[in-house]
Amino acid sequence: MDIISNLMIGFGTALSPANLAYCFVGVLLGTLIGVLPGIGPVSAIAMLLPATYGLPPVASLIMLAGIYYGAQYGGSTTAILINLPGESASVVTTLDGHQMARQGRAGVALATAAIASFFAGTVATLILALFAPPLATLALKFNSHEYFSLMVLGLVGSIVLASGSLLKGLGMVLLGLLLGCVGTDVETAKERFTFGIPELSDGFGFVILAMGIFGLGEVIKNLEVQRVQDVVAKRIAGLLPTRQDLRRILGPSIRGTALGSVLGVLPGGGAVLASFAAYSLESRVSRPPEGFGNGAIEGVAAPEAANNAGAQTSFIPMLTLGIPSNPVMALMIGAMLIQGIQPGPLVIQQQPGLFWGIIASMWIGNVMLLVLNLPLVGMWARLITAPYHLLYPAILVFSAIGVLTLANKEMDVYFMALFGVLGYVLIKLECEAAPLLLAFILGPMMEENFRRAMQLAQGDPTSFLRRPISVTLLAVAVLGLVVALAPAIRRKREEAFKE
Amino acid sequence: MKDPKDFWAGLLFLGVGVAAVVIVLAGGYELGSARKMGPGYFPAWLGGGLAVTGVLLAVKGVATQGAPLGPWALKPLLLVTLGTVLFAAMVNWAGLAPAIVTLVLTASFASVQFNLRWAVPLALALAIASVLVFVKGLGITVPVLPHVLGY
Repeated sequence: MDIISNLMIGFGTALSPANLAYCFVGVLLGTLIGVLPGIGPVSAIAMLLPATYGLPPVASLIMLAGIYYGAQYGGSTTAILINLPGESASVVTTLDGHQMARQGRAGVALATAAIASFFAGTVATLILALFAPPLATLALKFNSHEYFSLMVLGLVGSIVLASGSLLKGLGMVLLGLLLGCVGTDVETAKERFTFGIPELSDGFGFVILAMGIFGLGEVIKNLEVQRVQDVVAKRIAGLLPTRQDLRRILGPSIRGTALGSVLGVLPGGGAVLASFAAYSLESRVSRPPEGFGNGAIEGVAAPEAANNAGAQTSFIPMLTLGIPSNPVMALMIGAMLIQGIQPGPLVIQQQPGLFWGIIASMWIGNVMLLVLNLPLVGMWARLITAPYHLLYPAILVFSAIGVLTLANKEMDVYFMALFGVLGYVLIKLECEAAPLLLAFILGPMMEENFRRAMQLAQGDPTSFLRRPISVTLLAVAVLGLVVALAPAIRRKREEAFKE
Repeated sequence: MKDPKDFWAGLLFLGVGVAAVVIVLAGGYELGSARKMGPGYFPAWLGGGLAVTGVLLAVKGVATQGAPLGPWALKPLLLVTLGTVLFAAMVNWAGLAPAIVTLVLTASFASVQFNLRWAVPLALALAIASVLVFVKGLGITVPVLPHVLGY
C-alpha cells in the first residue's frame, strides 16, 4: 500500500517536536484571530506571513495551514456565541448555532461544531491523500493549452460560485487580470502600467492587494455601523452532547463532509459555498423536532462539517497543480515561493517529506483543535467581548507592519492604503473581491500560457479545442456558465445566497 | 437610475477598461499578432472586455430595480487611509514607534467612542509590543526612533 507508506513519511515529518510545536502555534494563533471579530483567514495569514519567513519550508507551511483551519474554527465560535460570523464560511452557523446558545445550549453547539469539523477534517485528509497523487501525475501531462483552459475553468468557477450578479463577477475577474498585468512583461521586458514608478516594475504584491482589499476595506466597512453585540457568555455549562445529540449529528456530518469535499476542490470560495449548500441540503433532508432556525443541532453540524472539509480539500488543486482555488491558497502559494519552492505537480515527487508532512499535519492540527477548543471555550468567549474600537487600530498596525516587512518599501504601504479605498468602494457596490484576487494571481500565469500556446499553434485558437484535456476543461467551464444562466437555477442560486 | 450599485460598478469597470486601452495604445505597447503577441495584446483585450462588461452592467443598473447604496462611512474611510499613509511616510525617518502611535491615534479618531484615555495607552502599548516582537524578536531592520536621537 503506497498511501500508507506515504502517510508514514508524512507523520514522520509532522510529528517531529519542532513541527508539532509550529502546528500548535499555528492552530492557536489561527483560532485566536478567528475568534476576534472582523479578521478572517485571509487577513490572518497575510498578517502572520512575515513571522514565517525565517522558518524552514515545512514548518512554515504547517504553521500557515494551522492558522487557516484554526481561523475557520474560531469563526464558528463567534457565530455561535455572539451571532457574528468570524468569517464568511460560518455565516450559516449563526442561524441555528446562536439559537442553541440562547437556549442555554452554547456548550453543546460548540462541541457539535468541533466534533463535526474533526470528523470532516479526518475524512477530507484521507481524500487529499488518495486523490492528490493521481491528479499530480495527470498534471505532469499538462501543456500550455491545458494550463490555460484549466485557469479559464477556475475563473469561470469563481464567477459562478461568487455571490452577487454574474456580470459583476466577470467584471471583477477582468479587473483582477488587468491588475495582474501591471509590471514588466516577461517576454519583451516592456514595462506596463507602471507610470514610471520603480516599485511597480515587479507588479503589485499579492499580500498588499489582499491586505488592502480584505484588511483595510473590511475595517472601514465595520466602522460604518458601530453595532451593539449580543453576547451569550454567561456560563457555558453542559459542554458534552448527549448520546441522542450524537446520533442526530452523525447523518448531517456525513452529508456535509461529502458535499464540502467536492465543493472545496472547485475554485472560488469553496468553504463558503460548501457551508451554504450543506445547510440548504440539510434543511431538505432532515426533520429536526424544533425546526431549522430554532436551534436545530443538524443546522450546526452540517455546515461546520462542510466548511472544514472544503477548507481541507481546497489544498488539492494548490498542491498538485500549483493553482489556487481561493485567496487563502493564493497566499499559501506566495509563502511557498518565498521559501523557494515552485508549487506544482513536481512537489509531490521532489519533496515527498514536505507534501505528506503538510497532509499529516492537517490531521494532527484537527486533533489539536478538538483538544484545544473544548476546554478553552470559556477563554475564547471572554476574548470575543473585546471591543472593536480597541481591536481595529491593532489590525491596522499589524497590516502596515506586515506589508512593510515584505520588502521594506514604504511605497507598498501607500499601495495598501489605495487598495483599502478600492476594497471599501467594492464592498459598497456589492462586488465580491474573491474573483478579483483569484484573477490577479492567475493573470500572469494565464497570459504566459496563452501566449506560448498560441505561438505553438501558429496563432490558431481552435487548437484549444483539439486537445482532449483542454477541450474537456473548457466544456466544463461553458457548462458551468450555462447552468448559472439557466433561469430556474439562477433563481435558486439567488435564493441560496440570500438565506 | 434604479439600481445604483450596478450602475456605479458598471461605470467603474467602464472607466478602468477604457483607461487600460488608452494607455496600451498611447503608451506604445505593441499589440503583435495572435501568433506572436506583443506586450499590449492581452491587456488590450482585457480592457476592451472590461469596458463592455461595464456598459452592460450600467445599462442593467438603469433598467432594473435594486437596493439603494446606503450612506458612505466617509470619516472612517478618510482617517483609516490617512493613518496608513502617515505611517508609510514616517516609518523610515521618524522610526517605527512614532509611526505606530500616529497611525493608532489617527485611526482611533474614526470610532464613535473615541477618547484619549484609551487611545493613548493603546497607541503606546501597540508601539512597544510591535518593537519587541518585530524588531527585537523577528529582527526586522527598521529604525525604532528618529535618527537624530541616535537610535
